[in-house]
Amino acid sequence: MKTINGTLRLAKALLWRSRRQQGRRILLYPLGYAALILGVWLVAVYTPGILTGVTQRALERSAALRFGNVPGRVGIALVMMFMEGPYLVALFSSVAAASIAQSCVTVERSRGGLELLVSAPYSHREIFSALLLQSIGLTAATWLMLAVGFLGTTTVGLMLLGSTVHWTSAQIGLALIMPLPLAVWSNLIALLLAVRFPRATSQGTIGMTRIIAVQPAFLFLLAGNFRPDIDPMRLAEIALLSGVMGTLLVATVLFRRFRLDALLAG
Amino acid sequence: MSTLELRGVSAGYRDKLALQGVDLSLEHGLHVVLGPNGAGKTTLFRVVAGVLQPQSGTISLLGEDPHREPEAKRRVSYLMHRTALASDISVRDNLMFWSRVLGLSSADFERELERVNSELELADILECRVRTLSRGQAQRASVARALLANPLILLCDEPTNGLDPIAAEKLRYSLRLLAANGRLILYSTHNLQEASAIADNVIVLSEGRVRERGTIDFVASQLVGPRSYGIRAKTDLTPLLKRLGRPALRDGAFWLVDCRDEAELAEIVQACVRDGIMIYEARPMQNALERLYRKVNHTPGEALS
Repeated sequence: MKTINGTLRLAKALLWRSRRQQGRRILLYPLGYAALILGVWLVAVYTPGILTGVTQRALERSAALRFGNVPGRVGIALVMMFMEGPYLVALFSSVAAASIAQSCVTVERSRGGLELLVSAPYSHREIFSALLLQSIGLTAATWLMLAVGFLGTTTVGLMLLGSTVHWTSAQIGLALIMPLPLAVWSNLIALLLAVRFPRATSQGTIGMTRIIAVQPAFLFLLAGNFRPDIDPMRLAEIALLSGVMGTLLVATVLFRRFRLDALLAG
Repeated sequence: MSTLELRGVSAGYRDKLALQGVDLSLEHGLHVVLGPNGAGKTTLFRVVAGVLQPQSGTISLLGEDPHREPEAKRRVSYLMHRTALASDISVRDNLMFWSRVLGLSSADFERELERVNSELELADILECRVRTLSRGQAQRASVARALLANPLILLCDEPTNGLDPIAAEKLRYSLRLLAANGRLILYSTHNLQEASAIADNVIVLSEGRVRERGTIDFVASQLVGPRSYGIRAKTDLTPLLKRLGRPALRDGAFWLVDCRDEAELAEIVQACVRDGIMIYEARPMQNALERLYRKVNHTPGEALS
């Protein structure tokens, strides 16, 4: 109980400082990503001829298969929203999550803040858990802004297009929730890399760390595009489950292998 | 029970020991830790701050081991030469963050801020973002951070690095006041003038071991023996020095004599006066710490800061 209280107190302090440091940026970055995805969606739906004939036909066919007989533009909007959108949300959340992990550990370490945290009245376990909570908390906030921003706007867009397709709460829930574990998985992969290779991640290989960390979301985005025969709901379930399993696996490795003194000495 | 006690502490990184069997027992006051690069000064601070787990030995902060009981770390604050403050928020926000880390309530924080402000005069920088501060101002903010929650022990690892002379003197003045108010301050530096100006006691580290500790003169006499003094006189001292059984050595305008202490030097000066020799000046030719530092470094002639 004492450990949990210490962890929560430290995590709250770290999150408070992140909010003070980033201010409105904490909301604006994910909304920027959401706007980017929305832009792709709008261009695909409203710009005639922007898609190649093959892509156009594939999307229309996919829409007919999944949503029945819907008009061309609405069909494309639906496919873009429910079959591409969540994976794009997952991908951009993962990119942000990798940066968050690095700023929580690498940036903190390089300015000496990590050393000071260790000298504060907390056990190493409490400090590690608090850093983890901070990193996951910021990742979850990013995902929430992105998912709500994108899915909310596209839902309104679909209504304006006159879509009459009805969604079950399971479908909406899955589309909304699925990107979260993938983003947290990326976050933990980036944390693991930052912890295991503290020098590497602070000497110009940050880009490589991000590329490695976003792989889960990227692979599912590819899977959705290259295997249209897989039912989207099933694919989303697989992605959700993989995210949860991957998160647990990396978290276990982190808890077992993490040594603050090695990180400080590295 | 000592405020800070280390018994047989060995610590290091991977297979390299930076501290080897260190024994120390310290009370309040300003203790300067002196030693060449790689002597183990930062490792000593990290071990006492609870940052680096020793491979053997015990540490006690008023009877509690910070590595076993993290709450004991409340008694210690660590001031590094890096400020370790977040650059994109104000000094007040940085202090607020660390007060939250220490579990202080908002009311406690305001009280602490007032106390620290009165000790360090922070009013001019409190609302400034850290990245807009000069090195000296940022270091003042960093000292304020270290003093939150009123720690008993302050570890200052080369805190005046990169500060201009005025900012460095202000910081040293603040630290002297804190030591006078009952805190134990461990202060590492390469700057020998600085060390002689502020130290109550010196701890000499070399190759991870404590070579000597005590007042500067005591430690210097223990480690380097007789001290070289220079006498500037109107006439040649060769006959007098020969009569006293001393070699007649010169360094520019000074006649050099080795003495155990100032009393022995006074005897030579008195002999000069008795012989009617006019003395212009008599002084140590090397600062005690400088001699000590050269001895510990094993690098005679190396430039000193």
